[in-house]
Amino acid sequence: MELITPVWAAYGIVALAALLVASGIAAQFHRRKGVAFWLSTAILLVLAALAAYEFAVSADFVLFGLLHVYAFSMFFAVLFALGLELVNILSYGHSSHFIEISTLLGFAAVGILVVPMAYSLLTIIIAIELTTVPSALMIAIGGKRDLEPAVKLLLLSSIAIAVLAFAVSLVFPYDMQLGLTAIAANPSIGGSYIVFLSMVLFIAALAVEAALFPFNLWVPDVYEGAPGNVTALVAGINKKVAMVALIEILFTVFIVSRPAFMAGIAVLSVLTMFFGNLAAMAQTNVKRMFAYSSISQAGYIMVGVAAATQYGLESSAFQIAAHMFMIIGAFAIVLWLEERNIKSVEDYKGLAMRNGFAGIALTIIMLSMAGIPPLMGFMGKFLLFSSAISAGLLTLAFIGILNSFLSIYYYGRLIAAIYDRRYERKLILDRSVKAVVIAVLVVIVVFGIYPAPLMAITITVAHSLLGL
Amino acid sequence: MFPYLFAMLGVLLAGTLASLPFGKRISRGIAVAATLAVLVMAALMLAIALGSGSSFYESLPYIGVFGVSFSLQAGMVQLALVTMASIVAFAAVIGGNVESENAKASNALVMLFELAAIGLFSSANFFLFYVFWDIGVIAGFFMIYSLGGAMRRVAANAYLVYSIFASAMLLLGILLIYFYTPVHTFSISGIGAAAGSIPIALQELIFLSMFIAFIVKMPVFPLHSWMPNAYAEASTQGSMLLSGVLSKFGAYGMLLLFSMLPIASKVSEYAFALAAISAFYAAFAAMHQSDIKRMIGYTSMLEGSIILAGISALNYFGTYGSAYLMLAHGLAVALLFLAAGSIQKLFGSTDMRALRGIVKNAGSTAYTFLLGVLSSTGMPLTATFIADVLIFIGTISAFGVLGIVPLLSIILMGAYMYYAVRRSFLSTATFTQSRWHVGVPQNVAYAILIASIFLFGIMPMLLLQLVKI
Amino acid sequence: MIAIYAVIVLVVAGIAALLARRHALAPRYIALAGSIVALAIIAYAFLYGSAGTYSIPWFSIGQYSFPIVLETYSLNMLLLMLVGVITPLIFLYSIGFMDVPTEQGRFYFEISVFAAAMMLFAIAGNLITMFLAWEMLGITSYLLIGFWYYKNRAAAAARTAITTIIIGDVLMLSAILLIFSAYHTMSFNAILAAPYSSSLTVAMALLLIALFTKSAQFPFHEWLPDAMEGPTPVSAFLHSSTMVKAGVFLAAVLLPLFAKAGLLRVMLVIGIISALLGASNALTERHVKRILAYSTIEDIGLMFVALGLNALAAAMLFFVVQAFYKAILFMSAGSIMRANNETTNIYDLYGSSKSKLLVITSSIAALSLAGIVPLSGFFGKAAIGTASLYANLLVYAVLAVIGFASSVYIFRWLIVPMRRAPEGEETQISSKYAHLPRSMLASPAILAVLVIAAALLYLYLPGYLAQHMQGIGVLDAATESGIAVAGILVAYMLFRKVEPLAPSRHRIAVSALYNSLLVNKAYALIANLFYAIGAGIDAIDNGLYEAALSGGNGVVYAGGKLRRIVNGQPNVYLVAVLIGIILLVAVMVV
Repeated sequence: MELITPVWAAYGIVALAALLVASGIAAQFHRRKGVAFWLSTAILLVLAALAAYEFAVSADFVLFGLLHVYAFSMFFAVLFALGLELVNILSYGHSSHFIEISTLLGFAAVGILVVPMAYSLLTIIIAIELTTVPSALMIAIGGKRDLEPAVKLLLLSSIAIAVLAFAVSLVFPYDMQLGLTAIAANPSIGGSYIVFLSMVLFIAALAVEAALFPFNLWVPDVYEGAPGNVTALVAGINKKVAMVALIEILFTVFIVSRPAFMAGIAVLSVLTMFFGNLAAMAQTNVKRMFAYSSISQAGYIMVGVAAATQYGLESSAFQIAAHMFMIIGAFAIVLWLEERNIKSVEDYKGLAMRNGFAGIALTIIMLSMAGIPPLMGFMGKFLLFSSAISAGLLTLAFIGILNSFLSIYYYGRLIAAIYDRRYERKLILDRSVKAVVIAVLVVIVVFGIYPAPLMAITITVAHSLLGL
Repeated sequence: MFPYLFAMLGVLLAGTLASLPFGKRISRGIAVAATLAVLVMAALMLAIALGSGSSFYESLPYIGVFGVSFSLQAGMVQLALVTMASIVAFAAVIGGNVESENAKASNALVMLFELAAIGLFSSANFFLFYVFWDIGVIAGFFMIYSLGGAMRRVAANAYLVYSIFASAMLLLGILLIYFYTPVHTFSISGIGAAAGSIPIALQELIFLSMFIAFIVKMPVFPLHSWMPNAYAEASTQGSMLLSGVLSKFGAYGMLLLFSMLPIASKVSEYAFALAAISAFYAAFAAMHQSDIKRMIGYTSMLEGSIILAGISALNYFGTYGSAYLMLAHGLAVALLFLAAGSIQKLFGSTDMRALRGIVKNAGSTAYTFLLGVLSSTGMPLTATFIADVLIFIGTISAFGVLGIVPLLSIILMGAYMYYAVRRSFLSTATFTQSRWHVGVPQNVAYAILIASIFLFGIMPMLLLQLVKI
Repeated sequence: MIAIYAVIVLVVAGIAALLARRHALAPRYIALAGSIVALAIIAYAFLYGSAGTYSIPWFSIGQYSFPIVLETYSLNMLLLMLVGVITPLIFLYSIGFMDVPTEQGRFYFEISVFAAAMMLFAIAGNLITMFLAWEMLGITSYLLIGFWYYKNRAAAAARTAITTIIIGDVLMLSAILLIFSAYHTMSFNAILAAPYSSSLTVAMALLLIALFTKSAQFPFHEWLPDAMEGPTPVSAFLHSSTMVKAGVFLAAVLLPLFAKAGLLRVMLVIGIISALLGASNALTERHVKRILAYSTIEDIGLMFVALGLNALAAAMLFFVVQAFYKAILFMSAGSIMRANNETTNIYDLYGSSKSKLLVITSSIAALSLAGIVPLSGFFGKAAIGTASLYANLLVYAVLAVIGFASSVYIFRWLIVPMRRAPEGEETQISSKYAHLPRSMLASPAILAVLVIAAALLYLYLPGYLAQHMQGIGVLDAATESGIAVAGILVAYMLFRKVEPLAPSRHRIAVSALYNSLLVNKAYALIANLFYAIGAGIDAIDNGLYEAALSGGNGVVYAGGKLRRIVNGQPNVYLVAVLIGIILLVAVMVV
């Protein structure tokens, strides 16, 4: 008899998610940072392990009629669990409100983990709500100064939720179903303008969360205003969650309208890339620059969605993973320097002399973002652009490559600043940032040099979503 | 057979990583050992190839999904370039940076750069080609930026922007080729076999994008604007490797491009015309430079144009002549920049308006520079001569009497270089005072490069024997 | 084949001299010994060697090969022998002349390689071997002319020379490659035997220009007088048997090709112009060595005239005999300068009559140059005169004028330094003449014997040449000698009185004759034109860079503008969301 079966493991995942929330609430009472940290760490890691197990045995079943346990969801569960753990470490070392963060992170985690597993539109809405509201609170925790970005995030995401709800209500009357596959099975889903409008609204609502232009104007304010660890969460994970939701909905419910959403997403992708890159060029504040850079990365990821092929999905999944690690790593260093009042490109001058490791690490992360081989960001972009070409979207690929070129301007500028000669007092890297950055570097270098395993995984992911 | 190419890459990677944690002297020792080991392996490969007449092919599985394997190959052209890169890198480590404060970082960068160069020259598919290309670009950036001169920031940024633009164009071309050849392959030989079936319009697009990428690197007019500053501002090692080796990334790519796409035969005349214009452009632009390093930069652009001319001839004279010129020019220009670097160190300037009587203060440097000039102008018994002969026989048979036109630009270049020699190296009552002296390491490095220039000039069969027609 | 060992011996000797540079005396004897061994080898080859071609593989590609080819036909052996004889004499002279201990090694290395290059040139059997020697000659001559590199003028002269040389080199290479492309071979024999190819005209024209650069013919002649900044043995060597002779020699070897390409007339015209320019400048120049340099331009011009008249034998005869007297003249000039503290203006040189040997040898040489029977120079000049008489009377007349002028200037050159030195300096100068190193006098003495003996050459011309020779009649001889004597008399009348031609009185005439300055101005004009183009291109280049830069800045500026959308106002963000939705609908419906 097997010790552990896929179904039991799935129950385990659910239980662990609940436990995470529970431990977060419990932290409010015992108020021990160490306990809260190690407990959530253990839970996230075990959860990731269980999800990985589900992936490995290629489980495919629906739990409680709500949660779809299959390769797609389990891949993102693992990914997000690891990302959450990085944010957790970062917050542990750098937040004066770690207990509160821990509680909120527990709630957010549930939302984050549920989105990819969601089996119905309603689940998606609730899960997204569950990820954004705690995030906004996490920003607001810092005090008055942090209130404005928090409000903006809350405002925009509540609009998004409203639009999302409206979109659901448009599609619901068709067969009174909310299950993703159930809707997709309805033959009347294609051709109707109401359904079409619903799709537009879905894209629009999720584009707000996924930071696609022109739905993303709130992003720079929030990313800059929020404390670094929360920015890492919002930029690294929340945004990806919205993308995952978008992918799920488009590729299950609206798969028949593929040509239409290809065009729409392609346009959004182009606009987003240009907006992110051009705006980043003019930035002198590093955090804001990374905010814009992360917008442009969202544009790249959408190239794969616009290709709307299995290959495109693989590429997007790959880049989602890549960018999650890169941006968390980048914001970790930015957070650490921000605490030392080093904020603008000017301030970054001589970083390599003040702390060699941080200099090299940030350089590698930025090179990866810029798509320089042999780093993970390069593989991601390579896959994305090639998926566009293989889908016949030559122009989109060309624009993507062009943007990839534009981005070197601001990455190069910051790298140049880092290696400027300036002798000032050394900076000491603390443990939590170091741990996060090392983990990120290992991931982006290993999967940059030897991407084959991750590519094989993403193929399974795409297969499972497309039901192949 | 022993996997020489993998071993080279391994040694260099290990050397790069190993030199980082240690101090100046140990890291220098590691760098010397690693580059020497690579040079020895390159020589062994050449010996094996001459003995057995075989070419090299080494392969490991890499990314199965694309059918990309980690495959390295080396025939005549590749061996020439690998040999050149290993000689230049060795000389750069020995003599390029003897007592700089950044010796550690500099040596690590040289090894990283050599890794990129050898990987690129020997890569059997375009995926690896691109990967190594970009590694080289980044290593070059740091050689300019973090080790360079006063205006290094501007120079490095311009270099980076142009280079990444080239990379983007290259990536576009590679991806287009991959998806529009029926066999979906990155393999260089595979593409050559299958490229005929790509529609003409698309071939034009591919050709254009890759052509742009390669002329940025070579550099050839009109996409050379990054070059003068970059060469002038980089560290000595940086100038040597950028001009000697990095420019060959583009030249080698161009060679592959012309031999790969059938469309090349239709555009070769335009490419040749561009090469001729670029050669004269560079010669004239060189005449207005007062900085020795900038002058060398433009002469290097001229040689790049001649390489392009040879490639555009599309016959084996032009093709192998160009390959030979890549080797010859790499050695010669590295020699010139090494000498210029010594001058910089000796007199604190490379401005020929300020320098006088170098031969009196630094005889070996002055004679070395003169030899570099002689080699650049194609003196017989230097490798450049063999290359010039082959290239222009090729262009004459492709384009008739007009094929000789780019060669005439050498008159202008030579005349100006001799003017520089007369002005700064010879002649004067008031010598510029030196504040340093050229030590044994520099002289050894000079000797290595000079010996190689003559070796391949006197015994061209070392490489030409490997040509299979 | 054995001749190649002479080249090798000299190169080895040169390298040995360089390695032995720390010893004060070793380099000179090593070099001298090497040159004597080389001469012995050459003499052996000359006497016992067989004519033919020998090929050593160098490199090949595809079905084409590029070997080193040597040939030992009579023409080759003639030049080889000439170089072989002159070389030890030059080295002998240098023993006395080159007395700076620190520079011995460098000097003998450079000059030995120079001599070796000329020997290789003499026996080169194909274009690529010839080019190899040609370039070696050019480069070593550059080094030798700039030997006193710390003298500004020497460095400038070296640069002028190398600039001219590199024009020639590149054109020569171009011509070689064009010829190869037409015939797929580089061997002289094969090319001469091959049928005419139409692309040959361009190639031969380029080749001819290259020859003119090397042989200092109009308009590339001004580097040669400047080259006088080199040490005197180098001048003597350069003007007698090497370097400038290379161009003539190659023209002689490839004469049938030039004839086929219809370029003989060009040779003739350029030859005459150069000879006239050389003679006129020699008449008015005051630098003791530059007079001789212009004289050389004239001599080479005459050789080209002969070749242009297709009188190969006459040209080659003059080619040989000119070497001997010109070497003497330069050596004498060096001795006179040495005795006068390296002064160069002939009007500041005195007392050459103090040294009998010097006067005798230099007089023999001058008489030979002027063309007095029965010295060897006469036969050379008369042969050319005869050839022109048969071909073109106008040419003959011009040659007569040149002949007259040359006897005037050479006797001016000879007579003026003979004057008695001014009071007070006399004893010092005489003692300097008395203490001239023996080798500096011995070498010209040997050459003087050769000048006389070389007259025999006319009688025993190598068989192949003799067939082409037209006889020199008594009338010819009388005219020739008469003109020469008249010139000598005029020179005696004019310059006996010692006063220089006063510029005030003869300004126009002098500046017309002394056009060197004008030519140099023209050179400067052309150089400035190129520099101006260079400046223009450089401006364009900066413009290109600026354009790229401002393009980049424009993008950054646009980015800055774009960023303004994000102004912190949530209501704008909401409007943007609405616009986005409309946009999406628009895109997806269309």
